[in-house]
Formats: sequence, C-alpha cells, structure tokens
Amino acid sequence: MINKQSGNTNLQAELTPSGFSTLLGAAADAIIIINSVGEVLNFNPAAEKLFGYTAAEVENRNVKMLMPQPYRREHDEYLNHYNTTRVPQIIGIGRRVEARRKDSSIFPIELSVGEYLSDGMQYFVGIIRDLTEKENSVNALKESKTRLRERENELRLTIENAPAGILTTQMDGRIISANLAVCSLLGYCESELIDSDCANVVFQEDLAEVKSHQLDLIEGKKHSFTSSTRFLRRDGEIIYAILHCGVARGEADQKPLKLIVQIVDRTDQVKAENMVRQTQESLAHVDRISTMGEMASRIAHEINQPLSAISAYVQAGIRRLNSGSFDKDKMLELMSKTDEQSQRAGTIVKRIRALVRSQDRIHGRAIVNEIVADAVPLARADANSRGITLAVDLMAEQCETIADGIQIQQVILNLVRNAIDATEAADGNEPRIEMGTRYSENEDFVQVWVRDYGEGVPDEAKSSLFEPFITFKEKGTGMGLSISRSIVSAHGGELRYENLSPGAIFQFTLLIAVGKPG
Amino acid sequence: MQNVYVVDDDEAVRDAILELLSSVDIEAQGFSSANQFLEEYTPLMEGCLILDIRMSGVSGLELQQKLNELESILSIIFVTGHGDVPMAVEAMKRGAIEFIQKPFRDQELLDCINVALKNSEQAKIHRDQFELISARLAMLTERESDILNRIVRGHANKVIAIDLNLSQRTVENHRAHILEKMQVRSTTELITSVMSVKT
Repeated sequence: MINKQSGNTNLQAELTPSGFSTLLGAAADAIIIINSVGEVLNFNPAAEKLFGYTAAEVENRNVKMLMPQPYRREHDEYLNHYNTTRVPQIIGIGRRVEARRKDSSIFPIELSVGEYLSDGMQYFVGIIRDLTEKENSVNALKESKTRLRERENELRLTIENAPAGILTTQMDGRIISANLAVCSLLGYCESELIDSDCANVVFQEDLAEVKSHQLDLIEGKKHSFTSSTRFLRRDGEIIYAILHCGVARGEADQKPLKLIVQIVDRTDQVKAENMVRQTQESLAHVDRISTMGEMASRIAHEINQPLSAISAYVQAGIRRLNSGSFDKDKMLELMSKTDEQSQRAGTIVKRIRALVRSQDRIHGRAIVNEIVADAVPLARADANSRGITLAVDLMAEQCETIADGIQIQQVILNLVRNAIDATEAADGNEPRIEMGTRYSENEDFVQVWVRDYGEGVPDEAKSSLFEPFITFKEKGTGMGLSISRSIVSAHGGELRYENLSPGAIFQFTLLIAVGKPG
Repeated sequence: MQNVYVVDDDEAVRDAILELLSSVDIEAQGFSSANQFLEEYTPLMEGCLILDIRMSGVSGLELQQKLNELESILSIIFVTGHGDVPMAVEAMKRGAIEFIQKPFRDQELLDCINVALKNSEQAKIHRDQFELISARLAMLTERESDILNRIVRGHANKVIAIDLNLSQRTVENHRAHILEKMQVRSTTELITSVMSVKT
C-alpha cells in the first residue's frame, strides 16, 4: 500500500497492488516514498538492508530520521520551500548527499527524487544508491595518484641531485634533460643544454666512437654501451668520464624513445694515474741508468774482447807479411777472423745503444727467443764477472709476441741481476744461474724464466716483494721487481716466482702474437 | 823446455793471441778455462802463462793462487781489461809482475813474454838449486846437521866443541865432512847456500 490514507493512487491504477509491491521489493536500489510533509509511506527491502531499519520502524515517521545533520534539521524547510515555490532543488536532478543508518553511521548516497500527484495529494519517490564502495575506490585512486606524484617528485629530486651526471636525449642526441651534476661538470645551465646536440660537448676526438655506439643503439644492435669518453667543458678543460648509455623504449611497441646517459667523472683519477705513470716511467729510466752505471765496466769488458782479438789478428797478419814467408790461406783466415770480431763488436754497440735509449720505444712483433737471446750476452757478462755460470735453455718453438724488446730485456737483466745477488748472498751454494723460454702446447703464452740456486725468497720479503721502494738488499733501489712487474703487465703478461729447494725461479708470461708457433 | 800457455775463456781472444804468437814462431798451447789448464798441469811445466784475469768459473786470480800453492815455476802474464785495476792490484800482491792491458800491442806482449820466460828460467834455476841443496842437506848425519846449524848461527869450533862436549878436533873433522857433502869450498859459501834454501 502506498497511500494508506487514500488507498487509491495513479500507480495503483496502472499496477495491481501486489505487482507494485513486488516491484518495490525486487528493486535493487533502496526506494522510499514520502508524502508532502515528509512522512514515510513506503520503505522497500533494499532500503531496509541499506539503513538497518525495518519498514515498520520507519513508515509513518518523518524521513529526516534517515539523514544526518544538517539535512535532518533543514529537510522540512526544503519541502515547504518546494511546496510554495515549485522551484526544484533536487527533484528530477539527483545529487550526492549523506545518509544515516540505524546505527548512526553516515554514508554517501546518490539520491534521485521524483514526484507524482495522486488524488490531489503530492508524493515524492526517492531512489537511493549506496556510494560507499564507489567513493572508496575513487578515494583509493586519488590516493594512488598522490603517491605517484610523490614518487615522481622523489625520482625527480633523486635524478636532479644524483652525484653522477644524468642526461636524457632524443635518439638523435638532442638533449631533453640534464641534472645538476651534468651542468656543474660541463659548466652550462640546463636551459642552455636542452635541445642542443650532445655532440657539442663531447671532445672532438671521441665523437666518432660515441656516434658509432649511438647508431648501434638506434639500430637495436645493442641495448646499452659503456665507453671511456672525454667531454669538453665550457672553459675548454677536458673532462675524462665513463659513459654508460641505455635506451628507453615504449612499453607496448618497444620503439626506442630516448637515450639515458650516465656520466661518471674520472678526471681526477685519470690525472692521478697519469702522474703515477709518469713518475714510474722516469723512475724506470733512472733505474735503467743506474743499471747502466753498474754495467758500464762489464760492457767495456765485453766490447774490449773483440777489439783485443782484432788487434792481435791484425798484428799477426802484419808480422807474417813483414817476414815475407806467408801463405795466402793463412792471411785470408786471419782477415776473416778479424772481420768476424768486428761484427761482434758492432753487435754489442747496437745492443748498448738500444739499452740506453729511453724514447722511441718500439712495440713490434718479435720472436721471443730472439729477444731473450739478445739479453744473454749482457746477462752472461754480468754473471761471469761474479764467477757465476749462466746456462740458457731456449724452447724449440719460434713463438712470436708483440713487445718492446728493450723493456723485456730490461726485465730479464733485472731478474738475472737478482739471481746473481741471491747466489752471492747464499755463499757455498752452486754458483749457477739458469734461464730460458718454455712453451706448452695449446697455451696462448710463453714463459720466460730465470732460476738460481740461492736461498730463495725469504719469508719476510714475500708480502712486499713487488712493492716499489722496498728492498731486502743492501744496495737495492727497491724498484727492480716493481718496474719489471709493471712492464710485464703492460705487455699483458704476469710475473711470478716460486721458491725451489734450493733457490727460486722467477718467470713471466708473454702473449703469443698469432696462432701456433711455427 | 820452456813453453807458452794461454788461458782465456773468450775463444776469439785466445785464438788471436795464439795466432799472434804463431806469427813469431812461438807455438803456444791454448786453454779455455782455468780448470782445463789445471787438468794438464805438471810441476815440470816451465815458461809463461798468459792468463785472462777475468773469467767465468775459476778466475785468473784463483788460478794464480792455486799455482802458487803448487810452487809452480810458471811465470804469469795477466791480461787485464780497462776496469780491472782492483784485481790487478790483488794479483800484484800475490807476486805477479807482468800485466798487459787489452787491447795490446804485439811488441808489448812479446816483450812481456821474454821477461816472463827469463823469470821462469830464474825460478827454475832457483828451484833446481833448492832441490840440489835440499838433497845435499838430506845426506848429512844428525850430528852433522846439528853442527851445521851452529855454524850457520856463527858459533866458533871451540864453542861448538864445548857445547856438544866434543873435542875441537872432532868438530873440525865434522866441518870438513859437511863442506865436502855440501860441495862448497868455504864456510862463507856454505852459509850462503844454506841460507838460500831457508828463505
């Protein structure tokens, strides 16, 4: 029953009473029908469920009991106002308002109100949809949007203030953004950098390399690259940096969107490294010179030998010629022996010249055995002068390596000198040094080794053996092994030692230039 | 018979010295190391040894020392290089006289060889003398040796007689025997020859 007072409405005219009641009962939305003074005439089951009241508790009471303040206070006024002015505020419009459950909890609803006249009486139908869930999800969305904004902000701050330079560019290299580190590194502000080609700040000599990497990224040949690249700062100074560069791609189509570039400044480090290298090179030179000093007399001896022989051969020849009794064969023999000794002297001079020269280093292809063999005469003179024999055992294979022969010989001479010192320090052991080259099948390097029969490397020397300026010898500079090791590593090899009983073996590797030895 | 020996571990230098000597008709013998020379060494070797002071293995100095110990009469000519002054000084302390610095003039070497050969000859004479006198001394009786020692010390016959509780006549007889056995004519000569052995 809609209208208990009249019991006869338009609705009833169109629907049977039971049909109407069924309609209200089946409606998913809460439906409330009130009269012109706000009394509830009908409260359907969905409304009961929503508000927590039974229909009996609500019907015939003012509908405002279902409203929180201020609606509860003002609702009668709304009705009056409409009844007198007929200006709708809500009717036919629908809006979001708040409702109040039996348990006093307040919840959001969407309220649409319709009106109808029946028997000259005015009725209002309110259709109520619960907005709680919808608003919750809206709120959640709002919240996640806020969080996203916060994260974006956080990310922006992080990138902006990251200690490493971070730069984004279009695929063609036009700068999209640059963080503070990039700006301070390069001496430009961000607005100056944006839209300019990043090639402008790359050091000219490194540009081609960067461009080629960039092309690889665009063509999808690689996903990222790292390069050692120099940049040109605004004031003209060169910045040494490590460049890490990757591509940002579209999530759906994987289309390359932009380049993300990280720039790590290594200028100070590079400068320090250069200084160390220069110092070490000049020390190596000093060491070589002092080696020369020690060796000068041995070299003089070395070169004196062929000269003495030449002199004696020639004088023998002169005497024979003067005596008038000579045969041609004897004279030829003396002269060819003389020639042979001149060649020998010449070779020694060449070797000394090469040893003294500190510039014009030649990094070239050479046969390992030949490099070693060239060092043998000096090493032998060195050893023999101290009453030590030097035995040489060269491998059969003629392996080639890429090396600065002079530097390698310096290493060998240094190892032999150490072996001599070790032999002398171990008085009574066999005065013998062995050296040679070794190749094992299927290896890409050869070994060069020097072995003595001294006391071996003492325990206290082991940890700092290769450290510069640390020496365990009375007259050592402490540079020999340190320089030797850096020379060997510069050639891609490794210098190691092993204590044997008795003595020690020092050996280093040299990379084989190509394929198999032949 | 005097010979020339060359010890040098540098094959060319050794060969060149041999050639030079050969050109003046000295057939010398070459050795590549001190050890090789020592293997063939006999006390009968006389003449000169041209020796490289700086060699691997046993050095020239060590060979000199060894030969000194063996009382060799070989006269050593040291061949030295430019930087070998300390070694040369050492060699001189051990009695070497002849040095020749590489590279050398042929005449210089030949002169050295001549001096060395003479030295060796002297040494040989000295050694022969020594051996001769030693042999004669060995022939003396115990009593004669005793009396000889006293004579050398300058004791008169009378003093010796009293000291040994002998008659002066007996001492005079012993003295005569000693002069005879030692093949000398006077006491002065006797003392000279005995002293030459003792120093």
